[in-house]
Amino acid sequence: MMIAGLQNKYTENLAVFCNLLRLAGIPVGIADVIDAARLILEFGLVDENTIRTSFASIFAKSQNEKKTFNEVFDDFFINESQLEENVHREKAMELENEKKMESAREDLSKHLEKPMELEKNIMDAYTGLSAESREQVLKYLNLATNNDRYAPLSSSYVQKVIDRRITMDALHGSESVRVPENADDLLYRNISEIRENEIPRAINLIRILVRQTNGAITRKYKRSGKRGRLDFRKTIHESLKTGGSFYNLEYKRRPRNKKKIVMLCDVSSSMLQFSEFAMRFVKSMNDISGFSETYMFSEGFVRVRPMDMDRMEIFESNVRKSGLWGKGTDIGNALEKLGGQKPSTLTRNTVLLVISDTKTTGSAKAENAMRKIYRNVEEIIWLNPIPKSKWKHMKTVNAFLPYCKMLDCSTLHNLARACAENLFR
Amino acid sequence: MNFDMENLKRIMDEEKYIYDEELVTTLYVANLLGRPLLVEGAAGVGKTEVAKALAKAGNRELIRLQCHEGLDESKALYEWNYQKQLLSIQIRMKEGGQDPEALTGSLFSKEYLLERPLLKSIRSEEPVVLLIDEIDKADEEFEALLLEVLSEMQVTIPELGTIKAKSKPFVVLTSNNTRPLSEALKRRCAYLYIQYPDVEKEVRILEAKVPDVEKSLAREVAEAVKTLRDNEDIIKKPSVAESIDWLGALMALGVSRLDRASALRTLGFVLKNNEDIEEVQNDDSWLAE
Repeated sequence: MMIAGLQNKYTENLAVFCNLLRLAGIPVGIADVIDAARLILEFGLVDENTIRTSFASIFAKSQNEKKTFNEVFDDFFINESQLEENVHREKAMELENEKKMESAREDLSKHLEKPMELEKNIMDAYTGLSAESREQVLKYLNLATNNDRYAPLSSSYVQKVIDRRITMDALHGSESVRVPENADDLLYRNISEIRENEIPRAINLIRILVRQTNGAITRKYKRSGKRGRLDFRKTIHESLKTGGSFYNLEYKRRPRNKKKIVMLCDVSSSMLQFSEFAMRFVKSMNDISGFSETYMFSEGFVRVRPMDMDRMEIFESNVRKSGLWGKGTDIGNALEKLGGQKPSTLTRNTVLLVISDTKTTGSAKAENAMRKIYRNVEEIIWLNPIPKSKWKHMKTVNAFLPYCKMLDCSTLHNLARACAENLFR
Repeated sequence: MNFDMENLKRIMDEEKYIYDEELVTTLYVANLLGRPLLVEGAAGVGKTEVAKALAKAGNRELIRLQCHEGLDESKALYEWNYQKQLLSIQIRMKEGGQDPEALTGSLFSKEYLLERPLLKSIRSEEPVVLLIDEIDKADEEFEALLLEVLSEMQVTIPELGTIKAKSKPFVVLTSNNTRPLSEALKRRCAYLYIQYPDVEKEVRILEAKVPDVEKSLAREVAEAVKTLRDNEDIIKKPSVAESIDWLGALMALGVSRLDRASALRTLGFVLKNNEDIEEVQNDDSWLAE
């Protein structure tokens, strides 16, 4: 593209910059590029702040876009001192990595009874291990390398052990939900502030979070310090890999006690968006963890068919069809109906999951019904979209708190953490 | 509009509008490129004032369209003057007119057209500043109506045809961000987000807007308002207008220093929500004795 009056090299640079903005997710039209060229002609390229502000006013159309714009701008219009600083930083990082590798090599050579050549990626993984995990790996390597018969198997096995340990460390670290690399403020923004055009991005984020969280809950069998009986069939099957030697003994594991989850979901007008997000979380996680039943309520109370739970994309139209659309909230009525079902849905093995902001008509009736249900279930977990800091002002929250574990789910991050830490552990 | 950045700054100084470089540059760019300016920010940060200052700077008339739910073209664009049309028919009949064609022939002409802000702004002989205030409160359908006006600078009236702009207005749209605006509308605009001012800027605003204020009191109010805005438990954050009101109330009571007693007596001027007032009353440790 040629822009009259603008030198070719500037036009090319501008086109590259606009492409970078597009790649970063900012929609840039031809008219914007032409206007940007006019701004270069008007202001020149001497004053960085003027160019930054004027470009931002035509390219960025929200605060989020402005943040992205500034990042792209900083990367693209880098000055000489920044460039030098970046080179120094990269060199320092390389040096630090090299030091880590050297220390890992020394550690291995000091503790291994026989020297062993490990591949670079294994060494990389080893440097990232905690002290406890390193000790376990060294113990295993010493055992394995003392037996020549298994030497060829060792390398790949070590890799698997290390990878698994790193994954487990990450999953059981201080944060049970890791933030996806491409997550932005959407994850930490109040769910009620997520706009309609951001919903697809939010749903995608939910998928990523669920995928991560599922890693921690896909085990169908619980781990236990106490081993069960020897599983002959599996042990023989496994021994085929090691030429018939019983290298690993396999034990029968005891199955988990599956909890029954009953979900009671507020779909009154103010809660609809939050409920959709929360149901997506719970539904996706529940696919692999156990049996559940779902009910929706506003002023009325309706059971959700399992097939409807599989089609979350038409969630809103299902709510419309159910007759609950656009109505107020009566939690007491919903709890009474749920508790009064024959045969009873709620047992001592049931976790009742309530998704609501606690705002209801007839709070005394709701509190009574909560008290009754509390005696009949294992636990009541309440996912509340209102931030915890505001709970003290809400009478209904204080009324329900003695009977349930209420969790602040005001952001997608909180919601994911609440589901991962409380529902399926 | 013919103004350069220095001229714009001078007039904003005269208007006591406290600005920063970003604001002035964005206004200049929007004017240079002929784009409407979309100003977003929390309520009370001075979005509307931008249009007023701009009108003064360019010595132009300010035409304001206040948006609300249900705003349609009859209130925003044009309407036929039905009363005048009926009276006209009656007069012609009294004068002996019987031919229906002759009676109604000229009823849909510019003579019977009631101009609303959008049409008025593009039919003005002299260019004006058109302020479309709180566009996020209007329905989405209204945005579609705006698109033709903003991009083509023309209006199509079925009975009259297309009316092209006699002069090009400088359009300022403001939004409190209560709902997202359409991509099509945003794409056509230059964008400016106005943050709450920092303490220094707020002190300058208070000094400019409240005559004879003591500098120390203005600073104490600005710092207290900043604390309230930073408090996550405060639901409705105080705007600049509210800090001006608060300062005015304190001065009316003859207060020269913001202490706990005077602050608690006048909290209603800065906080407009009972829960927020209770929150401050329960935890007033940040206020000086």
